Amino acid sequence: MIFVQFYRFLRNYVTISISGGFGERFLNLCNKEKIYLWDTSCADACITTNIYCKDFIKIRKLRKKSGVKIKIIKKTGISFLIKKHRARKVLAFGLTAAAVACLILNQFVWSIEVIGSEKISDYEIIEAVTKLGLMYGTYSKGFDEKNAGRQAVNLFNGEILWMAINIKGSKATIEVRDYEKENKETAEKSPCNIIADFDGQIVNSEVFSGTEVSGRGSAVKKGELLISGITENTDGSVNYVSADGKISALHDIAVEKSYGAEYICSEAEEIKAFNRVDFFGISVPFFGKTEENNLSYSKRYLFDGKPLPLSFQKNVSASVTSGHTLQNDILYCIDSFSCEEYDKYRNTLIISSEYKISSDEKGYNIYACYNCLDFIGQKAYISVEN
Amino acid sequence: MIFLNIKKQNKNRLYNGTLIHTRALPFVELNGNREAIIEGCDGIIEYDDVRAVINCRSHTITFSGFGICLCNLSVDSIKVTGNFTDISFSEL
Repeated sequence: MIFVQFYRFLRNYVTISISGGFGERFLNLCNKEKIYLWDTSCADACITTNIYCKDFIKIRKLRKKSGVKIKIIKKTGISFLIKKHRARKVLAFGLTAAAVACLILNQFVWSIEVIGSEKISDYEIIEAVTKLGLMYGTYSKGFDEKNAGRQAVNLFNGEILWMAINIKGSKATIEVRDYEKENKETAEKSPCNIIADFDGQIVNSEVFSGTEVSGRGSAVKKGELLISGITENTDGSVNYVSADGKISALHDIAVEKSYGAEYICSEAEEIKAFNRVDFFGISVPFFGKTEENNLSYSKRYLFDGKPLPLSFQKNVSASVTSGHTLQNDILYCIDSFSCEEYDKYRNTLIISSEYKISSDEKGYNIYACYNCLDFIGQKAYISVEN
Repeated sequence: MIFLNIKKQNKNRLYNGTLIHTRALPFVELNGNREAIIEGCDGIIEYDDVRAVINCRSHTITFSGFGICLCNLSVDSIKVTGNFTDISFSEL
């Protein structure tokens, strides 16, 4: 129906009201003259109908014959719209420019999506394809998708099984299949034992499949069997299963970390200047000092999650600050240590901890001892001969 | 004579075991009491918002109700919409 309305809009039509005389005769005469009328309704002895502008000129004779009075109520169509807005030349120019811009921008890649990668991060994959020429602002028709996919697989040294790059409009989709993911399903089904990956005392154990060997309260050493993948039947025969379960154990961890003098004094200082501007994939040097060796990051503007064809590249450099105090240095060491600690033991429940800080000529040493509760156990596959 | 017979046969159509004269009878398609498509009509005899009388050569079909609207008017077919309370046929 929407297409019909659009077609009528393109052909221009008028809504007329027919009153007096013989309305029915007028409709019949229009029919005979092959004048198309639609949405004819009647209210208060007045018939309202739609007619194409081209046919409206023909109804003069018919009007006289039937003795009706015709009045135009509404004019609809592209010609009327243009006539109405003909004074607004800037608007017309803007609309044309927008349409042209849309057509041109549709030829470039403005969105890159990575699907199916678990082992390698999306950022690494996007960086790899950038080397092959696919980036924000790449001309999509000038990019060889098939060869790029094959070349990208070689860049990851066998970590990826295959990669496919599909460009549809302004969106590039990178489909990746990891080697590990491919073998994961077969590995999950193959028979295995669960062994301890560190020394500790078992606090809780929950076995999903296999036979429990070390129960709650028992102390285990690294490499000791926790859940066996061999189950014995009543007739004496054995079954090999993939052992699975959740076992948590208490254990002690000791960590020692040294911070040298060069570590303590460095502090990042940001140069507040835009160094490069990327516009439609072209990088243009901007004001400010450009230092290639410094750290740099790109600031890209997004619109509804999609990048715009404009980005600023900013340089950040690290410089040594002078006049540091002992207190500041110790605080800096503790801060760095706690950050590392958080990253390493975020999934571990630390029950008690003990810290020792010592200093010498070379710098500072932090010694930490934790008593923590952690999941224990790793898979050890069983080789079964037929 | 043979030619005339063949021509006469073509004009008649067997519909559900009953021989009907296709030229004389209109084809009416109803969609509930809201929409009717009439093929093989000659024109409109009477039309207002509660009543529409359609001329179909040998018959007249009267649609009574409210909000009656002639959606499409073409050479030999009409689409009538509205809330029909009564549809009646009368032979001319």
